[in-house]
Amino acid sequence: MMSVFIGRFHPVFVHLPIGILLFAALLFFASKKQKFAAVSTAVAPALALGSFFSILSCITGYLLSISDAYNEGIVFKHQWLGIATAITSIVCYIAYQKKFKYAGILITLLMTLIIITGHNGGSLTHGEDYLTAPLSNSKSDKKVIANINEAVVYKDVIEPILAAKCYSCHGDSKQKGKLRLDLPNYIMQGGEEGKVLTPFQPGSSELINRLLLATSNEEHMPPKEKPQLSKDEVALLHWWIESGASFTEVVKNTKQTDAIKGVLAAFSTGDATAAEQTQLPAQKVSAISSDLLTELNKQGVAVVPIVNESNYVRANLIGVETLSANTFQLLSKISDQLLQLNASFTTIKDEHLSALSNCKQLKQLELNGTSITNKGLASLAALENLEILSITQTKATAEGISSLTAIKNLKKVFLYNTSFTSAAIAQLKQKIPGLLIDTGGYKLPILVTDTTEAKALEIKTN
Amino acid sequence: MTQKDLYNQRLVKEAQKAVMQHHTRRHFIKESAMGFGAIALGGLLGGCNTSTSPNFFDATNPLAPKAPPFLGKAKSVIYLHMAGAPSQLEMFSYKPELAKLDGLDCPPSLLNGKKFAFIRGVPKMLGPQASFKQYGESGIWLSENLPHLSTVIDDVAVLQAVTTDQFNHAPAQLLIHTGTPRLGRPSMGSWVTYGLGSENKNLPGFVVLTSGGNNPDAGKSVWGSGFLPSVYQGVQCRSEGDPVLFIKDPAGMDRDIRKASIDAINKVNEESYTEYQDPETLSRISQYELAYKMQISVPGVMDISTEPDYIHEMYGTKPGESCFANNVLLARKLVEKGVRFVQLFDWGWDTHGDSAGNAVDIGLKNKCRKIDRPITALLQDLKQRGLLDETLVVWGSEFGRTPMQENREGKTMPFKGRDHHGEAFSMWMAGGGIKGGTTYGETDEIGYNIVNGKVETFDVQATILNQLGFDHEKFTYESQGRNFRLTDLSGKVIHDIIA
Repeated sequence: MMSVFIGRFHPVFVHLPIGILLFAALLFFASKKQKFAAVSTAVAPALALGSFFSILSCITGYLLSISDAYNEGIVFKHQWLGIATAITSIVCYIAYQKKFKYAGILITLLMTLIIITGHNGGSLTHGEDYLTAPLSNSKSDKKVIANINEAVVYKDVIEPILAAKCYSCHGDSKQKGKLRLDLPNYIMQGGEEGKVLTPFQPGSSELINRLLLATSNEEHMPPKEKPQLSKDEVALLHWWIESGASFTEVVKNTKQTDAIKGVLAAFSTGDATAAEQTQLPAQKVSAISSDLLTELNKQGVAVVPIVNESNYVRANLIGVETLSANTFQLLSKISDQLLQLNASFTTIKDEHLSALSNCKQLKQLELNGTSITNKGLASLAALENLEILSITQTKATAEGISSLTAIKNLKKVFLYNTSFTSAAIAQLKQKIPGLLIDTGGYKLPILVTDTTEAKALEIKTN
Repeated sequence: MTQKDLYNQRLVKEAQKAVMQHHTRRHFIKESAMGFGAIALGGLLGGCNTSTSPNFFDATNPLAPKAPPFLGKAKSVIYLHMAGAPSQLEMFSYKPELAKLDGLDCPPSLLNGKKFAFIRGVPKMLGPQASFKQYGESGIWLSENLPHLSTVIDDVAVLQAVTTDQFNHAPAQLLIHTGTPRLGRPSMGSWVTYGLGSENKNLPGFVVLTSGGNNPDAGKSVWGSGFLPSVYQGVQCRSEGDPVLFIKDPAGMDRDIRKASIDAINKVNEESYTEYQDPETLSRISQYELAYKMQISVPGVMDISTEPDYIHEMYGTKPGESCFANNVLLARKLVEKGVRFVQLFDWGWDTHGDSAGNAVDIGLKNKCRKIDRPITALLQDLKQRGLLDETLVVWGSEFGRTPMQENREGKTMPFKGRDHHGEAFSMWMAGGGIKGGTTYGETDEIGYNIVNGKVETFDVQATILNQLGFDHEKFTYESQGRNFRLTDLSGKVIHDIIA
């Protein structure tokens, strides 16, 4: 494979004529000025040297083009423009030596050729939109899909990933390993080492396996110096192949794990990571007015955005000195934004909780160590988004169960030090399958080691 | 006029001319051109600055709660540091092969080019001084020294291959808590309170509790605020007597007089601030106010005697005593009340074998006895209160210990001990979005070198920040013209132990 070896010197040689010939042109035009007349002697050798290397570039370039898979259209153009450049440079040299009157025009032509050929060469190695991509207005590369369930898995979810991370080497302009991933038939066809994916079997699909190898591995894709796929993107590809690698299937007809659902949900907003999407409501909400915030702060309520620049908030009442109905009136004014409320160890009372019933977004409510009773719990039924409820060390009892079962989305409930009987817990488990219930009361056995100290053996002194 | 006077006059004139040159129009334009160039260059290179975080410091309310840049799982951290470096080989690192080598001379391959704190010449290998078993569904190996922890091991992620390049206590402690082995950088707790503030305005955001009879070797710098405003430094509380020294008003001074005097001091400070604009003055004002509030809130939260008996039994606490168990219970109480970062240091783990208390088969067992029960109780207690999901518990030390028996100055020690060993040691994390029942990293058959899953101290810090919602590479603070990070220039989040 000597020819391939020589061909790969193309990137080395190709930059020499570009630089030398452009410099020759510069010298040529400069020497027209009286001040720089002296440089005219350098023009001819520069042109000669440039011509020599441009011929060398043509030869190596040709060898490279037949050894590797590149976009044929661009290669064709690049090849002939390259040859034209080499010929023109020789013509320029002769014309200059013969003091041809219109050598200036020829050299201008040469410069134009160098620029166009060079650009084509760049497109071959870096991809066609390499130069213009930063100018195009695609700041958020994630497309917003209004209704992800109706979206086509391949076209709307998978193709953009392949386009962003794979096309540059396995696409229209370059086909490393004789593999193209830009069109369905090419994807199924595979590369020189065979098929890259087996529908329904992501585990035996090279497309997935290569992504999962350690980046230090030679076989890892994309090569470690190229932009890598995110965890979510790999998960999406995995999910696509697992559901049959169809090119027409819509999202709603596929099987989705919770993780995939989260990742998919992120498409509908176009920002934030999957993990955040599953915890933050999808709909946008307006910010809490600063007057309201000041008033809440004055009461001692700590109101913090859930995450930077989010309008959804968490509130903590621990710093409130005198908890009153007024505090809860204020809280109900931020019901659209309130996701988490911590009222543990405060003087909150049952009647206060009724004011919270319009806080429909509430996901987490902590009422540990308060004097609330079943009566208060009853007003939580309306909290349809509540997922985590902590009512440890309260007066809640088994009768409060009906209030809990009314909370449709409840996922975790903490009942340590309440009067829930084991029968009530069993009932609760049955009513809301999958609900995590922690009744606490953990005990640690007293072990011998807890009470006996390890001692040194008697050291014989005599 | 003498020649000398003339000469002097000329000198003065030349000096004046030189000064004037700086003010001529030409000089102005020349300098401006350079200046504009520099500004333009700065703009072009501005890319370097985009990843820094804004300054969170609000001098009027430095501890106001703040949102993290992304959704973190943990809201608070309890960091348990065993000062002195416990032996991983008698606790978390199961090395049956080492038992077979017990008493043999250490092969030169392990000694060549190595420097030890105390080992000299050729030491003998020392087999594990505790038996191991697998526990929980995860089947993690634990020693008999941790009988209680073994019951909750499925909530714990053990890092088996943590490494440090420091082999003396103080620099190694500084490295893991401040990101550098030298003094002067803010501690982890300071970074966290700076970034997140505190939801309870009546308590400090960063509390430090020590036990074991001594402060850690690196002193208070391991909870210092470095170049961060001093309001973020850890507040050391005592578990015996007054939790904070001089927190009680002296006899004869009632709350109103105290309030009036603090108001008066604050007024003077405010005037000083208007004059000098030093933000530290504002910190001082808010610290006075916090101290005033703490006079009421701290004795309440720091009083463990009000806890029910079954809690005392669970933790093995004895109110009124100064011990690790009491501090662990306090840590739970503080986190429950919204304290952001609770840092516990327990001294006395430096098992060199120079005394029975420092022997890996005697003293170490007793130290384990004193932490095993309270730590297990802490995990279970946090769990039953619904706090474990949002509280990250970290257990660790500054380094580990050698598989060789220490032979200080080449002599045999009176008891079985091990020397300092930074190459590989164990730590663990639990709660706060950590995947329980996992082990990460592996050391060789004798626990001397890392085989895979190496975790640097920076990785531990990066992971802690990640669980709180910070990208450790973007969480910076500008000091002396440079942006600093807790993880300095390293750190990778250990994704394998994150749920």
